[in-house]
Amino acid sequence: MQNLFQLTDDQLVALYSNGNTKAFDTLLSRYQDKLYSYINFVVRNRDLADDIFQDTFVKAIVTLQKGNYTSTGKFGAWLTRIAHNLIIDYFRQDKNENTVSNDAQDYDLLNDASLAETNIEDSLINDQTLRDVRRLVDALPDNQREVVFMRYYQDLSFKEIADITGVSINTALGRMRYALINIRKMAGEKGIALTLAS
Amino acid sequence: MDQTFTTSSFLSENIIRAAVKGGSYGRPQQRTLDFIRNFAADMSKAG
Repeated sequence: MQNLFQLTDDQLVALYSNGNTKAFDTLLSRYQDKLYSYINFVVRNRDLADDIFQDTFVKAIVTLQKGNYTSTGKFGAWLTRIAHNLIIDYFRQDKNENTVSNDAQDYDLLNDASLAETNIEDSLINDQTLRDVRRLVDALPDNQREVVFMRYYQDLSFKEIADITGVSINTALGRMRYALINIRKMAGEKGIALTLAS
Repeated sequence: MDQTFTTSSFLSENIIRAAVKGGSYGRPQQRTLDFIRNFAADMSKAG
């Protein structure tokens, strides 16, 4: 019996297209945590992340079944691009409906009690520093936070980030640059040292 | 750009990377995964 876990993504896609649903289950297992992490990191809402995660796979399944997927060896990047577009659609619709946008969520960094109570001494504890830095990253604008996640969590190249998000490499690089500038600025304002105790 | 600034920037970028890597961003709910598996099977049968 063929060990599905040893097959490449494109081999699994081919098997699923020929009716092997176990091949699809293997693809789902392979990407579910990574894709969900990306979506949840960007939207910061678990229920919404679940909805977008489900819609991403529904769209992918329909495309695969129609035979419209082109094998490029980048199945994961393709899934992420579908999710990225659905996130953009969601926020565009959300904005049009005049509801609160993701950027405007009542996440007021300056009034975050747990962060405000952090002093320099506490920051010497590594875990606390990393938690503080995650809060700073969380406070970034959506497009900067997305690039930070793709670069640092998914280890994608700027070329891959540009392809997935549909922007130029220079724009992706620019977003990362501004993200770092903003993180350092916020860290400075909050007295968070971007170093770890050895 | 002096060397101190360069070293400091390098270190802080590593801290940011470690912070992002070390975070927990959850997992999809089981019912969501079940729905997707069933949808994939139904579409496969229909096709």
